[in-house]
Amino acid sequence: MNTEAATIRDRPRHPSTRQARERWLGIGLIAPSVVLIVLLILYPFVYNIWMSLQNVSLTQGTTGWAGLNNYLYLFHWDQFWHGMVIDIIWAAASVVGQLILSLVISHLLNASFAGQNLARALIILPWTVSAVVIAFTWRWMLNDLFGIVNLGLLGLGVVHKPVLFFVTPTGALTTVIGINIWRGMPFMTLTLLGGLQSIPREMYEAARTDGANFWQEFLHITLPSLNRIIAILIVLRGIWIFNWFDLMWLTTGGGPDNSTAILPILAYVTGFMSYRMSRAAAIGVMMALVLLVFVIIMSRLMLREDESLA
Amino acid sequence: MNMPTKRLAGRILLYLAVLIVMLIVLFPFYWMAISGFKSPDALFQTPPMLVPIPWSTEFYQRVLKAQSFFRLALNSLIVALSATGLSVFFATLGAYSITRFRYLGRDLVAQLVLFVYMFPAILLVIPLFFIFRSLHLVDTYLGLILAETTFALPFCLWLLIAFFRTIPEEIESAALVDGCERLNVLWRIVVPLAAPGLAAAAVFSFISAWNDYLFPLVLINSDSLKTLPLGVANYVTAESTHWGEAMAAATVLSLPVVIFASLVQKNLVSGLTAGAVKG
Repeated sequence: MNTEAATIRDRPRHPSTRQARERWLGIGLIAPSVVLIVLLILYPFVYNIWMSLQNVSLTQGTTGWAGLNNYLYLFHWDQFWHGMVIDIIWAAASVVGQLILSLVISHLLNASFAGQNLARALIILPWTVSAVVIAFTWRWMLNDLFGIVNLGLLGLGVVHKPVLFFVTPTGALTTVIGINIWRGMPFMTLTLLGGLQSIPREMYEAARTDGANFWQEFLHITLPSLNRIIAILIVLRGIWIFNWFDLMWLTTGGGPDNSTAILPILAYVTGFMSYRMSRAAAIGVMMALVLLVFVIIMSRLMLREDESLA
Repeated sequence: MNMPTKRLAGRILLYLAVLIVMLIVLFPFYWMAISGFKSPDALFQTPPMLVPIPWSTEFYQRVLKAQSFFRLALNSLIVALSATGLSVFFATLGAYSITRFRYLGRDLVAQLVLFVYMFPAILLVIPLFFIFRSLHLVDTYLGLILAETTFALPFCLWLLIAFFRTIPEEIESAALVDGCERLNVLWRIVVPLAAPGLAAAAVFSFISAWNDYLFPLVLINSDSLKTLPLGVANYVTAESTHWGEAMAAATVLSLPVVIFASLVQKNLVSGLTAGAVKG
């Protein structure tokens, strides 16, 4: 039997048979991933669009065709437009805050100092823990009566009565944006640090012999070298934060008075607490549309930049 | 100022700035961990104790001895490990296929991976809930594992495609000429070379599934199937807040993640850069 198997294997195959075999092996290896992606992501996405055109209630099931009624409802719903605006502010302010801080901190970590490796390793911690951990730790620290932040501020005489971080709409939004900047800064810092390290040293040395100061170096060497990374960070992180449910839900829960009900929260509450699944699905479709517009605008901008560079 | 003094001042400023940054980054973790080590009376004491002396394990005991704790931790482990195993295994095969084989539709699949990688959980959870409900997958391990896979699989594929591209094909060609079977080459040559990438993919898949809040919130109802983040969230509700227990439980939830992250610290940054979309 052994010899028979050996002769079959040793027989020179027709090259096209071998190619076909390779092709089918390649398709076979990717197939499980494609099946999972189609069943778990693409099909649900299409199903979501279909749901948004029906009347689907969590309690009563599908009760009929709705056409565009769910979208028309959203169009006239102040809470939806409020959520959209707050969501955009939340995503934009978080990304801009994270970016500015990271630009500074990545420069700090790029300088040489004792304990540099330790600092680079530890700075990532806020990025790795659950939103539940982040939300509760900060809520405990910002607690009006027993929080370390308020007790510290009172003790130092900075304020005379406790700061109520989550009570006013603007205060609550600002606070969660602050927490999100703390959470997202490490990732951006390490990404930008990678970018900084890839800029050739000679460029700075040449600039320095020409008498350039730090700001000139920053504006004419550092920023242009990093602009691609920065653009990608803005788009990808912006999209992600725009859709991030966990942190806002676990800190403000959308309150006070629905003032921080960003679209992910509005979709969740509409679907799973008011049981209006098709309306929630329509909110999801609208979010996807906003992202599509955003991606198109950004890719146009990035494309134009490339052309001007060429 | 003469040059040496100016230089010294610059050094001092640098160390001061780094110190302040690290303090802001790390203090919440310190405060979380030690809040759990205070006695129930000391927790609400003013001025607060910056170091818990005498310390107490009361809150940690309450959390760890709660009947549900073991169950929650086990559920989290089952779901996170299964989603990670499933994703890393299929993504290894898939990434190898995309980077080493030629067939119709290959580039389309590569683009599809990038596209679905951008898909936010909140957009998926509404239709997934309905689809899973009709398949009786709501409130099951399998349903939650598959839901976590919607993040982990595209992430692993994306990371491993990038990683496999950096491995020179010549090593494999030599083995193939020697008559090695393709899958043998993948297992014996590519996988060992890609070990750092596989480790990063596995650790990040695990962390994202372990930390996740939204999918278990929607897809799990029974207490016996809930995961740790839901358990932690249970200590702080609109009706009652137990800050000591919440901080102790949050510390326990963070511990494996922090240990894991430090284990793959070397690959952390490259892995994180690949995670730029989500996480």
